[in-house]
Order: sequence, then C-alpha cells, then structure tokens
Amino acid sequence: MMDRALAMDNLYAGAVDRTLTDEQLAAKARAGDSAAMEELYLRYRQPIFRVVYRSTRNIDEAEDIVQDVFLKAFERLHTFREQSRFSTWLMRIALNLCTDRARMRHRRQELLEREADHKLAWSHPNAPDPIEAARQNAFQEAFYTALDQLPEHHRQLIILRDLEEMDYEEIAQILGVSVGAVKLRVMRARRAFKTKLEPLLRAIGELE
Amino acid sequence: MRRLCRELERSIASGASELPSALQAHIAQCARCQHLWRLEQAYRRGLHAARSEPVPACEVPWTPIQARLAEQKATKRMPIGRPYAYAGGFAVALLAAYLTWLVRAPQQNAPALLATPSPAIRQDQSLKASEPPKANFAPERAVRPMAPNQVASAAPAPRPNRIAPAATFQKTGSRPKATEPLAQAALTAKARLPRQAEAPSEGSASIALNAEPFAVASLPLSQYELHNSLQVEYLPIHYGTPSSDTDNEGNPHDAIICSF
Repeated sequence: MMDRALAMDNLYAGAVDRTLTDEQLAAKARAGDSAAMEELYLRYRQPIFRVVYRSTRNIDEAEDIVQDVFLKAFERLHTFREQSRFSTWLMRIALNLCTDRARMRHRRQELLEREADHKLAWSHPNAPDPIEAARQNAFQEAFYTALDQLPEHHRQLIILRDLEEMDYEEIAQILGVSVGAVKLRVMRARRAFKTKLEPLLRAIGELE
Repeated sequence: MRRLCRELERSIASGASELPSALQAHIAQCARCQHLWRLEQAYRRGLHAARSEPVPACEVPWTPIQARLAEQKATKRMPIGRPYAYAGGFAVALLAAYLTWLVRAPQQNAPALLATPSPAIRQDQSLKASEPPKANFAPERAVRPMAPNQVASAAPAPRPNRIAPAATFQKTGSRPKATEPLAQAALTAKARLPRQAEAPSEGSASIALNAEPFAVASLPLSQYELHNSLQVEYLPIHYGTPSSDTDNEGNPHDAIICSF
C-alpha cells in the first residue's frame, strides 16, 4: 500500500523539475505552483515523520502532525525568508507542533496506551530467546519511559542530536540559538535523561 | 584520582566510545566512575536500539493535503464576497419591507384618518391651550343681555349669520390669522357645532325643519370696555328654523343656523 501511494505521488510529481533546489521550489510554491509544493512534500515527508514519530511514538498522531506541518508551511510560505534552509524551517514548524501536541495530550494515558503497543511491537516472532527478548523489551520500555518523562525541550534535543544524529549547527539553526548554546543544552538534556533513566534501569536489574 | 574522574566525565560528555587504558583501570577501582560508565553504556545501548528500531514509512499521500490547502484557500476567499452577499441581502430585505408597507399602508391609514380630528378641531384645542380665559367662549345661554344701542355702537360691521365651513378655509388656503381673535373664535365656534349641523345634507332638511332650535355655539361680536376691563360680546347661534316660535323669543340678536 505504501509503495502504491509512493508510486502515485511520484506520478503526480512528474510535472516539476526535480533538480530544482528547495529554495527554488519554495519560490515556485509561493507563487501557487502546486507541483512544486508536492515535490517539497515528497522530499521532506519522511524526514519530518521520523522526528515526529520519535517524539510521539504513535503512527496516527505522527501522520496527523505531518499533515499539519505541511499545511502550516504552505499556508505561511510567504513568511519563509530564505535566511535558513527550507528543511530547517520545516523542522522548526514540526517541533513547534510536537510541543503543542505534547502540551495538549494527557501524558499518563498516553504512557499506558504506549505500554501496550510496545509490548506487542517488540515481541519479535523470530526472537531466539524469549527471556532475552523480554529483557530487551523491558530495557526499551525503561528507555522510552525516561524519554517521555523529560521536558519537551530536553526531549527534542535528545531526539535531534542523539537519535537523528543531526549536527550542532543544524540544530542551532532549527532552534534559532548559537552552537555553543546547543552544546550546553544537549549536555543538560543528557544529564536529565540519565537521571530519569537510572532508577528505571535499577528497577529492571540493568544497574546495580 | 580526582583528575581521572574529571577526565572520565569529559570523555563521556564528548561521546567517546573507547576509553584509554588509564581510565579503564581507574573505573575498576572507583565505584562512582564505574556507576557513571555503566549508566553511560546503558544510555548508549538504549540509543542504539532506538535508532535501529525501524520507523514506519509515512503513508500520508499528497492529495488530502492538497485538498485541505484548496479548502483553506476557498475559505479565505469567502470574506471577499461576503460583504456583497450581506449588502444584497440587506437590499432585498429593505425592498420587501417597502413593498409590505405599500400594500398595507392604505388599510392602515383609513382608520387613522377617521381617528384624527379635523384641522378646525385641532385649532380649537390649540386655542384653548393658548388663549387667556377671558377670550374663551362663554357657555351657551350665558350671554349677557345687551342693549340694542350698545350693540350697534360696539359692533364694527355687520357679520354674516352663516359661518363658512372649515373646509372652505382649507380649499382656498385663506386660513384666519392668529392675530384676529374674532375670526379665530368664529372658526372655533364652527368647529364646536354638532355633527349634523356641520354637514347638513338635503335628505335631512325635513328633520331639521321639525327640530327644536337650540343654541350650539356663540360668536364673539366685538370687544368693549367695562369697569376698566376688556369684555367680549357673544352672539349665540341656534340650530333650527327661522319660523320657529322659540327662535326670536329670547334675544333678537341670536343667530340662527338653518338647514335647507
């Protein structure tokens, strides 16, 4: 189904030159070129979805946010001044929307629902050792629980730097701060994350 | 020892995957650094597992986003045409109200005209409010008897017994001036006539002939001075026939309104 959707998208996107840069496409999209918008969407749909999914851990919610990201981006394309890259600008919108969603949703309820989902998702049918699989599941559960317990600004930094492995310069552009400030914030975020992670790992016997 | 602890912290912060042998030896001896290193390893293991966890592909196609964009564009364009729609609706409502008024106006105006007093009566009411009490009409049959010579000297000119109807004033536009008290009083006196005397018809002649004459109004004739005060002489107006027995018995100066 995904392949068919991608194939259809590629068919629709054939009207625009794919060698154009993001900024050229953005200029065309600002003028109302629907094909340029579509090309931009196809380029950045998956990277945005990856970050959003890591933040929400829910496919449906992540897809909703992705739609909202591109709707908002194309609606406010006239505010894109090309002082930063289009992908950076798009990622900033995505992170802001993630923050809004995180404020809105009920964290405790989400955790409970996610717990059930993860147990199913991580129980791989071809796992060699069920005990090892259960231990691995418990470890992953503790990891994501600690990540969920972090404040939104810390979680975003962990996701961008340690999970998505973005460089500091790009994160600095997304957040609109200096590289030094990003490094400091990443260090604080890691420390806070480990503080949350430690008791959880102790509880499952991963730490003495 | 403390130098090695700080160096381990720096290595962890920089994300070093391998530690020098000196630090590895130190970790084996220092419980705090051992704990830190294990926590760091667990963290890295968790990150590695999270990174290697497959992220599902985003299957949101472009078409729903395009449709929502078009929808947003359409809703944004709405306010441009909305004032015209409001103006059109207001014009239609105004036209409907005007047509309704045109249709219903004659029906509503008819009873209103009947209920409205005639101009003469309105003028009578205004005179009552504005004139001093002395200039008002005296009650019927309350006319002071007057000597014929006094009447002849006081009256400036002979006045017609028949009073022109108020409608005559309206048609000709020669309404009496407010500065002429006698003419105003005469007009008011006409206004105070009963309805059958106001519009006598030919069919009612026989009834009028057989009716008893009675005083319906009094006309002020002239002004005279008595005991240093200005007085007005009134001429009572009777409704009846000139041949009536009771007509001229009381006062020879009474005016008689006849219906023919």
